[in-house]
Amino acid sequence: MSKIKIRNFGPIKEGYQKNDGWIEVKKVTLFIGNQGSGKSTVAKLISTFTWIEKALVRKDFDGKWLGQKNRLKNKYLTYHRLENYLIKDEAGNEITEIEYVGDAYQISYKNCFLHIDKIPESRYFLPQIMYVPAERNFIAYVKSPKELRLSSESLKEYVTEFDKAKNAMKGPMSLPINDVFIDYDKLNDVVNIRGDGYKVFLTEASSGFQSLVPLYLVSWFLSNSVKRGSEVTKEPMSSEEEERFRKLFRDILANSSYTDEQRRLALSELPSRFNKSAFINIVEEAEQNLYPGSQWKMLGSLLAFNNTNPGNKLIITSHSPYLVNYLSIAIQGKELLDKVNTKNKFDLFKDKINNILPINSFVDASDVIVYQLDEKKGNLIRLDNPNGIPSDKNLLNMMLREGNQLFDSLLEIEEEL
Amino acid sequence: MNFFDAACQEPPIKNTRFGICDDQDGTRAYTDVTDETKWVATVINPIQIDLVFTAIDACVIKSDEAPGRGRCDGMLTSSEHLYFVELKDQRSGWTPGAIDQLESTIQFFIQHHDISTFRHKKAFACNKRHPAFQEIDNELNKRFFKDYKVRLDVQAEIIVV
Repeated sequence: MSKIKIRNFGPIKEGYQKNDGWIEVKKVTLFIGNQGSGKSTVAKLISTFTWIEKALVRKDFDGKWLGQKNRLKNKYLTYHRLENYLIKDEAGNEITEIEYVGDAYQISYKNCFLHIDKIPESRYFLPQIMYVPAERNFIAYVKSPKELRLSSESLKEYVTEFDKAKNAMKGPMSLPINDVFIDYDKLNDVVNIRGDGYKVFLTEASSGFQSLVPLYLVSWFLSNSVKRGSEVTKEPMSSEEEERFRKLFRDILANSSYTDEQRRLALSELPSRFNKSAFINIVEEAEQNLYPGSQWKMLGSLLAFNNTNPGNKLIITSHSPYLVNYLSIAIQGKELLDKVNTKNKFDLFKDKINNILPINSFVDASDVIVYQLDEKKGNLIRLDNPNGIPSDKNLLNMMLREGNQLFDSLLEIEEEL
Repeated sequence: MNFFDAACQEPPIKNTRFGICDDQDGTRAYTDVTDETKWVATVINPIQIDLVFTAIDACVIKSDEAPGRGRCDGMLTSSEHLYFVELKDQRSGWTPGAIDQLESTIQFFIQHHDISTFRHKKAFACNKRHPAFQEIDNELNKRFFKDYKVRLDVQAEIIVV
């Protein structure tokens, strides 16, 4: 399990006040809170530091290089456009502090410098990290990452993976919503949505499809490729493999005949030749443009992809009470499934349970953590989990409750008339 | 305290649709099949199970009995069903009180009877006139089920299956 500690970075001020400030990243981690409260900031920092750790493991650079002043700001925060989130005090001294502990490295940032410590005797699974940005709807309209030259790096990478996912499709794929299929017309590089008696281009489809199709396809593709990789060998890379990997990596970096774009593509292609054994799927506003029932099905799919490998992680930011609710149901499902298995009655109840919620989306209570962010205080609190499920007293459900209270307040005034 | 005291029970009823009423005057709750305007809870009984309504408040638990402890209005039972019912008609903030009364009644019931003999156990908090918009109540439902093996339902319709 990895963890991160954040103080004075963008909207995050005092950070998490418990657990010595450590925000734990579990198999399923959800961040909820008002816009501007820092949900995406935390998710992006997790993405950034997980990526730095991966780069350290594969020896893209050494700790000395990374330890030079402003490396984080100039080299890594720009990927998610976070370079202006570093905070200074009145005297002009930077007061941002970030610490990250992964499975292979501990990385801390203070006074403009990164400091790296290797964690001895660690067991590390080389991850495929995907950050799914909120602005993903745009990619339904573009055919290649080049067209997004002005947009963010994370979006470019997402488009690259979307391209790979489309090409990996072996035929029509069913979407978890609306009983429709995705067709990819390779010749014209066009994605179609096909339903009962109709077919439309993805560019013409509703915004919900434009949000879901890339998310679904990329998550499917990456979780499957990681699964295939890890089925070949369940072990992390051997030292020999590591050395080979590093050499290939250095060769690409040193090859002056590459354009920047070619180099980036070659580098992103390289890990697929090694045994990635974990897929870290970081999804911003997972519910984007989706009807509540579709939000459930979308999350069910993401949880199922997340369950394909023990090292996989799903990190989500959300404003949707339906997603928290789905997690509760998926946790309850797992608890029931364990009881059913203990009594050797899986075959008897399998279909009945599957009709309620797909069993492959179930998640253990101990693998779920929900944080609520407060934009006024700039802090996070961990949502309670009474009896293992996320508390209904979360900000999103409380907002529904507030709807009851406001309505009631109007009735109360009417009573006084 | 006898939750199966014949003096508090109505004869079995198997209508597909009937109401549970409470005149809110200190008298006990009762069922009705004719005047829907009086129904606080509507019972939907599509497979016509024989249901016995037992008045709990002001009968099983007398008005002067167990002071300070809440009790719900009644229960519907069959050989398999044990449905506790609390009826409310106040305008606002009625849910927590109703749930407390149901919980307290279930505790009394468990003290005096074996709850496990019933296959379907539910507790209904009903308010026909002022239903609340629904919130998500998994946490409360889970605690109720864990503590009493009773499933909680906050709405004005009691569907018997």
